[in-house]
Amino acid sequence: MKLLKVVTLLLLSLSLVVGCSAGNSGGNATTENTSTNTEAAPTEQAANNEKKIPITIAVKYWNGAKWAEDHPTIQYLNKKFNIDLKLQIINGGEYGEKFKVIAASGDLPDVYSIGGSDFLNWQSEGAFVDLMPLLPNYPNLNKAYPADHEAVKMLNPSDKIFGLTNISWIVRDTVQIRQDWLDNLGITLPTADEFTIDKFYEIAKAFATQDPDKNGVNGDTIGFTGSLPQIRNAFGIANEWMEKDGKLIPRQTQVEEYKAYLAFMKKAYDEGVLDRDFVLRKGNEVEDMMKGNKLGVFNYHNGYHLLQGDIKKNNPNLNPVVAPMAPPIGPKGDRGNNAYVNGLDKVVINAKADADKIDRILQIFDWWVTDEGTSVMKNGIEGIHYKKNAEGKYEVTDKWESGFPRFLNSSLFTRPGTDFIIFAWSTEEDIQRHNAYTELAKQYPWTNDAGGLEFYSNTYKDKWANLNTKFEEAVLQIIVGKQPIEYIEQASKDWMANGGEQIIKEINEAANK
Amino acid sequence: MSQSAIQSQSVGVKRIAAANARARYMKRAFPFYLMIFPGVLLFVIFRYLPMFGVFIAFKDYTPFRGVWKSEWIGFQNFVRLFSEQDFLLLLKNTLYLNLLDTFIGFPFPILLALLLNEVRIKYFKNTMQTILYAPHFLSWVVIVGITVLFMRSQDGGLNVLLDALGYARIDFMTNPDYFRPLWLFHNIWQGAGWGAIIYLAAIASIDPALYEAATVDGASRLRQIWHITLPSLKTIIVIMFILRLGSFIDVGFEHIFLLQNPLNLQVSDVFETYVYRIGLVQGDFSYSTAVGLFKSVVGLVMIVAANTIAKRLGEEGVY
Repeated sequence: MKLLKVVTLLLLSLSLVVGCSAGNSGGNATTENTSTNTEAAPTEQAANNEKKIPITIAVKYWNGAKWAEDHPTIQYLNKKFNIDLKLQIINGGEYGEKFKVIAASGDLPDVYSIGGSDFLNWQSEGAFVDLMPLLPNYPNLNKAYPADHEAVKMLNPSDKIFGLTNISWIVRDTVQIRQDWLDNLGITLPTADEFTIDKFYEIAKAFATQDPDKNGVNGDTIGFTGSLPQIRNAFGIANEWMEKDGKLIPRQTQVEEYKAYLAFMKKAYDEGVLDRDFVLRKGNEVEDMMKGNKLGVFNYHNGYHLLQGDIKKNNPNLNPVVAPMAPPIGPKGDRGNNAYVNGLDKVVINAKADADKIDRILQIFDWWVTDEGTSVMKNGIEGIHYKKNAEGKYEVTDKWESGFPRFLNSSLFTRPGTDFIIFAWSTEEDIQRHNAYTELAKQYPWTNDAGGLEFYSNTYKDKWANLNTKFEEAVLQIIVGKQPIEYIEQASKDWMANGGEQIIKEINEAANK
Repeated sequence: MSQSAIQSQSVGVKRIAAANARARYMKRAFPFYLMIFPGVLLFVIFRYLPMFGVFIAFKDYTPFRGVWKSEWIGFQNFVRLFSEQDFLLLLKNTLYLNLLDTFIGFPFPILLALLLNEVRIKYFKNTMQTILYAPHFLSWVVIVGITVLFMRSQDGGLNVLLDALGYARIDFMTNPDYFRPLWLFHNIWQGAGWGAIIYLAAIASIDPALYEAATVDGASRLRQIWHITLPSLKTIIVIMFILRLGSFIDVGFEHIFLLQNPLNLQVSDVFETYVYRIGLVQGDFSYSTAVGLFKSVVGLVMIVAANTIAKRLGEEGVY
């Protein structure tokens, strides 16, 4: 009896300690119920796939409703490809760290996305399936990802393809102006050719010192704040790296360009055109300023029509109009929007998968890049997430937001192009707006000529973050007047001396390989 | 022969007696051992076992190979840390902030406890105490958020007021000169009320007879504080001080990181924020661990040294 008491006590105390660490194992039961979506699931492919194969996919979660294990799209895929799909949903912000823990425990999923640095390191460990010999068997995939495409080749050895990648925006963001503010001040919207850096300054100054929001107070609006790379670009400063005389040089060495840029920024700061708190604005704060009707010139993406709605929501009396612009022209005629380096993030297949599993996974991707597959992966399943109305037009059902069918298409993999935000029910007007915007933005790409090469430089890996912090610190000190403009010479010299020179050497070596 | 027989017998008797005593002791003490068992287990699992993880400081840890298969690299990470261009700056900032906190921040809870102890109206005392320790429950995100809202240059309340009164705006958040006072003020505001609780408890246990005797002798309030309250608090003050020194190279990540911006970096960059920027963001776990280990060693040295000195001076110390 006594012994029993002791044992119980011991167990109780044990359970106290263990209890907190065992919270995450529940809920693995698969749901066999597939009766909800019989309507749209074709079965011809399932006939060839006799064996049911379990497939796990790790995917980043950013926003929207979280998928349940019996999400209609999962059921659809399970049925179509005769698989048992399991998602490991990891919060986007923690993905890098969490994934390293999963990797260390040796329990990697079959399909996952991975950033450039790890992608390069893990290649030599034999972590990924080489797709080079396999791709020709999957005609759609082969067409969407030609082996000689820059983004496909990126970070891969010349004779191997270790992962698929997202080939999407060339340029996504451009300078945008509140046209209704301009109207209030009686300034006409400049055309692409009239939009010089001086014009930009004139507009920003008017926004900062006058009363564009018509609330009766002069100067409670902000001209422009930080994070406008287009200004730097206008002065000819590289988007990190540029090619000059056959050699790659980093922006930190462009002292003369920086002097002109800093003179401009310093003047803007002194005259109150540049937000006095631009150093402090973090994360969503800039976007909050746009939505709060405080900021009139900004760097923004294709969703500007939604921004208009958000401004209107906060200020019902306004009719906000946001006009996407070409980037401003600098003193020497330079202008540009920062271009993306496509191909740095890869979607890979775990080398531990057997031939059948690899085939099944590639079948899915091969279908995914077709119109039919993409439609299912972004619009959802007809009859559940969207439907045809009486007029024969598509419209979303109430399951569209709660089901979040576009989750995998926007977070894991999407076919090349930018049409992932065009849906079956998008109006002709929307599509045209989207196309016009895409054309405008990519007309002035400002490319990073060494995109992807930095992963090959060890000095870059060890020292870049710190060197960059130091250099940016100097730039900011000059803008706020703590240091004279000539101080940039010193900052550039220090940057070179403390490792920059070595980085330039290694990057150029990597480029010539 | 007989002598040795007697000897062995007596040894046997002693043994039996000792075994009996142990059994009795175990029987009596067993429930207490059982009671501390969960606590010990907690320490072993969450404090001692993770310590083995520090050996990745001596490895070139890559997640794909895992902890065991990663390569040994010896002291390379430590060499990198000590030869870092900013090592001295980091050390200076860390020590500077800690000196401020220890020598200016540390006495505040004591002062507060003494003041609260002198308040005679119970209502007022309790209300004051609650108000004073409430900030302890606010997170740094909230505290710094409020500060930024009031003090930033463009539309911060304080600066708008300064501007309206015709004074020049002050860049509280970005001027490096304001960083240390602001940090210290936050620490005192947030921690003093909470820290005073332990001293108030100690004051409550002082024998009232001492005060009565002092009153009879005609000692004023200040005299009583100086000759009775403070000497009674000496031991606890010393212990708190030693414990404070143990975290001398720690400044806490969250608070500094939130107050930090590129313009005050030269006074606000400390080991924690540096590790975050260089180690975690770049995924260099080995290096981060090496920096952590270095800090722990310094902390240990500080505690042992402070404790030894305290004992030499005739105080009790923490162990």
